[in-house]
Amino acid sequence: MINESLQPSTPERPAASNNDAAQEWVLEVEGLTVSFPGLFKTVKAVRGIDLKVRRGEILGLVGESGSGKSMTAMSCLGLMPDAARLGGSVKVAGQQVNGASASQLADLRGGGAAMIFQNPMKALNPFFTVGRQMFDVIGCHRQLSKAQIRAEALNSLEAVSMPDPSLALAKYPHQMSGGQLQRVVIAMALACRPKLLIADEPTTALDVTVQAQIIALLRKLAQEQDLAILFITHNLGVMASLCDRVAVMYAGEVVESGPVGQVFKRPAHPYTLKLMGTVPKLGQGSQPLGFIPGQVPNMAVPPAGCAFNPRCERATGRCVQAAPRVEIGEGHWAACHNTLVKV
Amino acid sequence: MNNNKQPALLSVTQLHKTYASRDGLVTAIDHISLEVQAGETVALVGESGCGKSTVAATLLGLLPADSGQILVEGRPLPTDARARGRSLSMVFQNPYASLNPKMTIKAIVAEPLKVAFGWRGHALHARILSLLANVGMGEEHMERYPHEFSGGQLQRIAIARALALESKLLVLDEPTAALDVSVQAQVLQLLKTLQTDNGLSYLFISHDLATVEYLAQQVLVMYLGRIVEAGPVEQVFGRPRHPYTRALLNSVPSIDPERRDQLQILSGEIPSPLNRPTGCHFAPRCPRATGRCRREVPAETQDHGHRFSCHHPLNDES
Repeated sequence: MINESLQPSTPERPAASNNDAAQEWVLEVEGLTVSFPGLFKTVKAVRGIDLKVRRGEILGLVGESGSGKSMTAMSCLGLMPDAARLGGSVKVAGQQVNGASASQLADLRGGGAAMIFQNPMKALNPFFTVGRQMFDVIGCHRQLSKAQIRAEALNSLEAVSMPDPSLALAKYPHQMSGGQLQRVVIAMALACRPKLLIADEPTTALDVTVQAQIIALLRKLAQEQDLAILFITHNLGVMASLCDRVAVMYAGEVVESGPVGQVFKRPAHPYTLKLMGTVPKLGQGSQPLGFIPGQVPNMAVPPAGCAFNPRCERATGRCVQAAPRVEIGEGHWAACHNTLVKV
Repeated sequence: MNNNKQPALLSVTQLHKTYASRDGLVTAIDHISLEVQAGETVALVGESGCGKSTVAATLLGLLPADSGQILVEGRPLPTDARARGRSLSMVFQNPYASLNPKMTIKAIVAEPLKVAFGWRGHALHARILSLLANVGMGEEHMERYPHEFSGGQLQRIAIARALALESKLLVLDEPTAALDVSVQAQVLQLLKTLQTDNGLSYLFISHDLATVEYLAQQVLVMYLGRIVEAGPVEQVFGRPRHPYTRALLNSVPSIDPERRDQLQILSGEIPSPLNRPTGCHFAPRCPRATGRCRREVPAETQDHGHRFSCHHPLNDES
């Protein structure tokens, strides 16, 4: 991982909202850029995004494949491929992540922030029992006796409502269902009491009934343990049911952000509205679905100005210039020349 | 079920399939019956492990059934794979896995035509072109390989291949599950257009209820190898009679944040098919279950083309 700049933020970006409770922010991302230089072209996966997550808050990051949402999540833990070039600043619980040393990063991962992934079957080692894997994680981050480690593992399994935790510790991953494994992974992530949990599509591989259980669990954890969650998904329904605030990503940029109720009720960016229109909704029968013409842009040569302009019905001549950030309401903004909501 | 004189396009009666395992017999499909009429989309919904993919595999002859009858237009399904392909073909969930990465798009679409009809030369070329045009792709794509396409485009190619043999029935096993929502919308729309233009029938296997509502006219809800409720989509989704169907519908997160409190949690998980509960399989998770549910398998009740198997069906609650 190579750092282009260690400067905390790019000066031209406005500091998002007031900073009266600076210590409240568990995650602060400012002007983050991630690019992959190649021989002939440089792929710009993330192009300057700002995100902030408070204690006890769930921020949803939504976007299609290739919009840069997973790269953003990975950079919060310093888990970038070697070829990636990073710019901007990422702070977790006040600690700088980009530019941190290997040992600082090791403390951060699991300690300050933890991550859960899409497929719990791939996140666990099939050769070891769940207990063994949990003990390793806890023992690695905390100075505890064997008995304490075991007690801690049982505690965190109880916190995620695992039926019969001591039996679960003795099982191998293949003996559990996907929903149970996802609970194990969440318990493992929480065992070291992180302040931030990054969840990369944790419900995509699960059935709807289990997905609903996991949504309820994450909501409970955020409330009871004051946990900040960065939740990545492409499922707008999951987003609407779980998150407090959302950020909509397109082509490596956040195009709209705000409280979940406002963004879904009064989407201001044409992309947000289009994306919502493509989702089949229960109770609407076979009403025609909306669709977005064209393709996601090639990130080696992103369109000038607003990246969505070649696919946008509302595009005008000025859309080839960088889109301004328009305040729509309290904490709600959209980066668009022709917002859908008049302000 | 079918009062028409004409036999249904696909008629499955008492299909039963078990797998032998080290821990005993696993019943994957337990005597299920279903019908697909010409030009109709029938959806098969249920959670992982309920047996919906086994139904598809059995229909296609990829797995032998233990017992039961599969009729296509009143005649038994041919055992020969080539002849079977003309009756039904399949689109799989993941186009990255179902298309051979070493074959060009042209070769992929040509293969069924060569094998089943022995087509060659200009006729073959023209047919491939028209198949690709059907799914919105053209001559410029023919010499390319699967890795050069996006997931949505690959799924279109898989659909073109499935259409090659002009089979009347397409089995779609979660065809949009691996795709982004915006691309999913395009593929769903394409499937709908193809159906209207060519009079196709679909057996649509999915766990996404909203997609089912968009595409299907009839729906079958499966739980642990049995069909627990079936009927027209607007009846089954609008006024579900089986508590499991209601629970499934209530677990779908709504895109409207104000309705997030309506998200209901069904406790527990689908039991292992190795030790299925006695009586109604859903009883251990069901809020309405009584002692009778745990003892007796509920019989199927018919109500104007809406059938369900429950001792304590939901009534006019909605």
